[in-house]
Amino acid sequence: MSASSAPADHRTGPFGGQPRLDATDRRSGVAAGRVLVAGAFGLVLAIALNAQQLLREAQQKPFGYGRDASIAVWEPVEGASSAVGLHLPRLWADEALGREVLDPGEVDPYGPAGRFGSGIAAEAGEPAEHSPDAHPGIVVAEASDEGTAVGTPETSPAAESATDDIGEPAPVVAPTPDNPLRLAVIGDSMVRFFGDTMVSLADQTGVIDAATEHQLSSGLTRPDFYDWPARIVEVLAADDPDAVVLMYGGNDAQALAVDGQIARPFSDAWVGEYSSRVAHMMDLVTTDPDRILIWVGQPIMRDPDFDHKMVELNKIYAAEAAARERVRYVDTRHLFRGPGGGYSRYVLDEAGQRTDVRLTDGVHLSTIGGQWLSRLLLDKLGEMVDLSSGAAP
Amino acid sequence: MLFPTFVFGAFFVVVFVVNWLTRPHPALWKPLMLAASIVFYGWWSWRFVLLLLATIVINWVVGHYAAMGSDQGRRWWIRAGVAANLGILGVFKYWDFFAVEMSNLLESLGISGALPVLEYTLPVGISFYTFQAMSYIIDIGRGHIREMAPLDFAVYLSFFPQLVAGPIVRAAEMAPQLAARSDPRYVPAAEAFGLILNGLFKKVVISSFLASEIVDGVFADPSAHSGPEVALAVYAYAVQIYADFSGYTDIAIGVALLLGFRFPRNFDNPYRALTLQDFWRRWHMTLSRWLRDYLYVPLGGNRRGRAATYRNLMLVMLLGGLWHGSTWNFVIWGGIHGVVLAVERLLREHRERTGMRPLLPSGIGETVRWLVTFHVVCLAWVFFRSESLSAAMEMLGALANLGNDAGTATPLVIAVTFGALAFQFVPSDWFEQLHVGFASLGWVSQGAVVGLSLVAIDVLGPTGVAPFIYFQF
Repeated sequence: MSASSAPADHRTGPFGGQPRLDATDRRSGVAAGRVLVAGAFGLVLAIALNAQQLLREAQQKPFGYGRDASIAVWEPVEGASSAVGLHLPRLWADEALGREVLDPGEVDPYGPAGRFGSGIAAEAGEPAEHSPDAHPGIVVAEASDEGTAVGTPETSPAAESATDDIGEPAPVVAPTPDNPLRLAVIGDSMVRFFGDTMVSLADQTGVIDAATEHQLSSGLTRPDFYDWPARIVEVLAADDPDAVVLMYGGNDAQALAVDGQIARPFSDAWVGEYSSRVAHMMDLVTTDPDRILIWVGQPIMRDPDFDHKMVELNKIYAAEAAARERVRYVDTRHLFRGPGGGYSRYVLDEAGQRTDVRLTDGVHLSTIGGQWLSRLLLDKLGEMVDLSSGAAP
Repeated sequence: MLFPTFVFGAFFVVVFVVNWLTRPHPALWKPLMLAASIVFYGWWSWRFVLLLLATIVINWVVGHYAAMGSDQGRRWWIRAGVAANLGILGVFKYWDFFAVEMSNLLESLGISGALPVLEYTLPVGISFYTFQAMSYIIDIGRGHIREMAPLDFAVYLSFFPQLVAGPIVRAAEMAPQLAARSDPRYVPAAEAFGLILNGLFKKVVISSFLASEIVDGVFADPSAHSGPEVALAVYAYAVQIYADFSGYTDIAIGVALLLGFRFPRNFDNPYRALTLQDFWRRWHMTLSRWLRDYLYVPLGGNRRGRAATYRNLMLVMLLGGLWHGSTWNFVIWGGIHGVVLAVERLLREHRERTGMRPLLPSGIGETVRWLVTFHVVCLAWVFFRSESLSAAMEMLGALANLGNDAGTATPLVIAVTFGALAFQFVPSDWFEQLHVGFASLGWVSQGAVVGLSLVAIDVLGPTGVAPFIYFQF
């Protein structure tokens, strides 16, 4: 029997006296058409007042048809809104809250390749232009051909571990409790899940004074979304860390702009430009000859396609690190391999117990996974710097 | 598809128009509404849609044969249906937990042979729609409701406003509304817009602010913070999870109202509660009554003696904890609630038996009871929020930290946390007055209020929208 022919008791609720639920409001309810008009007017007003923000968000989407369509929709709306000054209340509100306010016209991801960090390069004492030619060792294929120990993470665990030993650091003065090593742990959302843990473990040594910061959804492909080179220069100027840990890549397997053209992920142009950006970040950090950098590779990922992309990025990181003596690339894939050798959320610990090291998204690390990674990174730091006057973390 | 996004706004405008245009024609309205719900759910993953459709088919077939069968046949079908639903939940939600714990136990006993783990992605909202489906077939078995037509049942189970995070709406509440066809002349717009804007504010502004400014940082590394900061983070989490979950259900109820459906309430100022029993009458009310009607009462409730009553209470709360997720922390969360509910019951029975008068004057007594109840709830939240038992213990241990002030307890964080808690005590008729005032406005003014509120929420909220906490359950 269908619900429409159900008896009366069926309509009074399951437990007798329970009142029937009724969405109709005869006292103050209004016609659906009027609700639509009022609601639509509200949405249109919200869009008009917020058009600049909507256009900025459209510009920050990954390159592709979706982004183009969004911009095509929001650009004229933003133009009309700005022409009559409807964008001003939002502008004033953002300024009152102390937020950085960018005009959509200033967000130019199609700009020249040198735009990545170009505004801050002079401040850091580095050349603005970074190209594969400026760093011959960074072209992955060439490096491999020449037998450089470039990581090939998907080949074998032994090949992966070879990448750990890339880069010979310059000696760094051994820290003491009175003169601790200043450490900055920086990156994208991956850092969110181990940065605080690493700071805590580093502090426990008594000879490291650590700090961390992260920016969700950020990376090196889209400085128009978050300008990491500019931020790194600010951090270096403010904190002058002796050692820096950087981790990027999870959001970077997307198209980027090279000389006003969109480069498809992992095309030759893309690899060249991305490599130069990685190189630029490494050079910014190691401008100071007393500073060392640990670049953290991406761990094994659940999604095979995504994992393959991370393997390709790891090759770039490993190659760039190999070309610099104060940069060490740390492979993390072997740390998070499951019992079967591939991705697993549950990895055997030293006691042979299955341990939950990843979050349910198949990407980020659990607290325990973050502890494992932090210990690995502190071990690597200990190989580069004499931490013997401190306690074991 | 997330509620606080422009994509959902555009989707809903289309659905709203189609809903009211086709509502007089059920043969057209039902497939269109089902399609809308599938689009909404498929926005996450089309694989999730397949599981949802399978759940719809299985439960409708079970309900159909249960409704037709003899008493014995009906019981068999209901048991099979409940087993099928629990099986789906077991495979997607609980198997890995069981396999890992068993494997580790065997390993510690020196027995090799690990059980395989499946590592399936947990489909969004599976616990909610599976519980709705079970309530449907059990209510048919009890004779409380009649079988629904296949399309009616599909629309009910997949109805997008409540699909992914409740409230858990029963077939007995939805079927009459599906049959009645709401009057398009009397849409409760003031109430609906009020709920939607309030829900957006709670989620986008309050919940996100507290998560990013104090909760996430302190729970990630409690040892780096002072005891007062850790305590504030626990209070802030109590506010965050309430703002997040009740914000979602406010939006869900408001959206449903605009489509001509009324869902049951899911929250009633839970942090006003003076006892834990009172808390459970105010927090996630549709889950509480589900557990009461489909677990506590069938187990015997309080009708089989004191020992059985306490056993049932503990069992229901432990399973209620496990409903949230397959970790020991959720079990402990349920266990804390179960133990304190049992103690409350014991004291109440003792007081009734002995005629004992309250030790404190009513005003002071109520304040003490509120403080105790709120802090028990907060203690349980520590386990709920922490990733592991050791992390929860570290968090509790850090309450005694004397130094390490990390500066997270800013005046704004303190004001938002305690302001939100104080808001629980605002009389509900204040909100009704706001609804009345909004309803008396013309459509231009109403639209202006909606538009300006949306912009204000966007300005005050952080960039991007974090998923709702209860999606993971």
